[in-house]
Amino acid sequence: MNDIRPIRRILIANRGEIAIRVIRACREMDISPISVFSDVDRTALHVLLADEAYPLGGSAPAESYLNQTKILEIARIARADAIHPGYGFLAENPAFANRVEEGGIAFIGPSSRSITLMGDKTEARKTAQRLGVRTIRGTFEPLRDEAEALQRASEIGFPLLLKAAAGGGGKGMRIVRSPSEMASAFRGAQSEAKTAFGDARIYIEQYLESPRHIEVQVLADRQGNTVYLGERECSIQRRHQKVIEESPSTAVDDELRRALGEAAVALAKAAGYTNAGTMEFLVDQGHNFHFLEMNTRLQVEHPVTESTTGIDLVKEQISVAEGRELSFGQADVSLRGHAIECRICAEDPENNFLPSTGLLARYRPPEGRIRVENGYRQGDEVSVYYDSLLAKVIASGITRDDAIGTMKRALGEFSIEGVKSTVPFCQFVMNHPAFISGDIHTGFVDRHYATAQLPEDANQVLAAAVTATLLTDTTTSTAARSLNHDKSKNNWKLRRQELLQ
Amino acid sequence: MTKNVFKVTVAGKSFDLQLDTPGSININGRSLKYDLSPVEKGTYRLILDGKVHILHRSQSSDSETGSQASTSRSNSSGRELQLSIHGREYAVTVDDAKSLLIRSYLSKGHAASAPVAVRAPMPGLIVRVEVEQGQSIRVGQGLVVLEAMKMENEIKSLSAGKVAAVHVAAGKPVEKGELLISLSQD
Repeated sequence: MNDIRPIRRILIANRGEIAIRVIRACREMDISPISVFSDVDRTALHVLLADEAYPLGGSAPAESYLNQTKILEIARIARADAIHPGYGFLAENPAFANRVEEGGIAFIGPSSRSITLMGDKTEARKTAQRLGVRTIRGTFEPLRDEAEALQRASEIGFPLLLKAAAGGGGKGMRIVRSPSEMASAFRGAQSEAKTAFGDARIYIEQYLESPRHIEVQVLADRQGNTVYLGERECSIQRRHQKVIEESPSTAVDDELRRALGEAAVALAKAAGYTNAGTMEFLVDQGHNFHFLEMNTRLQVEHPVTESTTGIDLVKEQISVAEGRELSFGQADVSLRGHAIECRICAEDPENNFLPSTGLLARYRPPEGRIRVENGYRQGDEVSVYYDSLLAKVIASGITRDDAIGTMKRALGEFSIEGVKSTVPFCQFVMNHPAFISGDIHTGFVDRHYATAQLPEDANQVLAAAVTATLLTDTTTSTAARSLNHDKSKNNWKLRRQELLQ
Repeated sequence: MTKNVFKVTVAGKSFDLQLDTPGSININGRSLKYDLSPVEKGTYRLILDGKVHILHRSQSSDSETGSQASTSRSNSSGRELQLSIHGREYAVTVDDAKSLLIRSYLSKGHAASAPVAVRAPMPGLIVRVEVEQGQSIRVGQGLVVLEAMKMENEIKSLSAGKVAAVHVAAGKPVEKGELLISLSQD
């Protein structure tokens, strides 16, 4: 187990911002990044930035980024030493991890055995129960059918959550508030779970009102060292999916942090876990924490941990996969300052966060003292096939207020036209008194956010009226002349043409 | 009305605009300085009364392809432009004296309550249709479940009314903008 196998060529079995994040880590470690791409991603940023890129064919995930056989074949042809799965797609698929390992290629993640053990939500719940880590009331076995769901529901009580045993990312999840809602919720959760994970198994958890979602990053090497890297507060969610995350949490003091961290490490050790992983907890109003599930992969929101610990999680993942021992212990981990991440998704915050597709007619991420993990360029098409995440903006500061100020500035600079984005929603949250005071929970969006609260700027309305008029006025009038700052006639014509395009 | 006078409607508000001297525009009787410059294709920088705005002109899906088509449209029923500022879209109607007259004439024969078309906000697959023809609908009621981007998205009604027609069925793939449900308003 202590053999070190240096990694020189990594195939990244993913797309978008996370593929680019891994490509950059590769470059910084002098490793050659190899991309794969679907038909619609031929000119995507993760292809342009790679040393080598290979087509997967097709556009739908099943044909492309979920096509295990094709990806393994490319890995062999490209002589990759390792595969990084990113998050989503094949990241938590034990069969894939197993096939990679059997092909003599390093899987940058945990063993297939650990994925099976912790990736299955009901199995993970049993492990936690065995270790004495409190779990949320619910079932420890998947439900056979609607009838069993109803019967167990009457024991556990409403409201409750139906969740996919193979799940994550809010997919295959439904809130059920009364028995009459069970039938349609059960079918909906099942069909969504089947589509997203190819596994329709559903279990029940009691639905806690207004808890905080707090998770702990762990990192483990093959020599048996496991450390926790502080917590991330991920309570600002829409459709059960995180949209704003931060570290540290305003609800966690040193004592709770140690308790959460030690529970997370115990769970990881019980699963024989190696590489980076995350234990998710719900923390109730009384500051009791309940184990929710483990994500056996790199998380979308990992940058907030990187910011407060100074540790590059992707580089550590690669180093651990090479068989190296962690270069630091728990005592070396210290948290510094505060970091906030906003997920910029192609969704309409004024229409129930429905995905918004189309051409990114204008796309200008913010710059300056800010971290942006970006997956798209101006002119790219946001297709219906994949996740709606366009970019992540990470602001850090000595204090939380400082980080909020930086985030507000950065969001104001983010210019996206052509598709709707979550930028206005993130701005709403950054300006909300409850968020500013740190009083947040998973019900924040339901309680505080109404579309009508997105302010309509009277100056913007006026600007639109004036610009439309000037662009409309084709009568060679004063409007056209007024654009002629320069007396040169050619220049005037050029400008006029540009404006009329 | 003189030649440089316009009636502009945007976001439910109406403005009387008059282009007077170069670089100056009169809005509802108040004169403001402006400066408009293209930044890149489709994007403009407007300075209005000292305030900087960046506007993007959306490629509208209908007939507008070039300035000629636009000009001809302007003679009949005013010009409609889609502008977006920081992701917020504004549909702006610009009427001159002539188009305003035609518009008022046309609207006289217009029925008061046209059916409301509920369209697919994105391409996807119809998972379920939750209403049937003739059914009464309240605001916010789920109409259709559309699967896209690995998520099931419930399309909810933005208005109350009756289902006049259902145009899709479960299992049907739809394109963005495709008609799903027609609602007649009460």
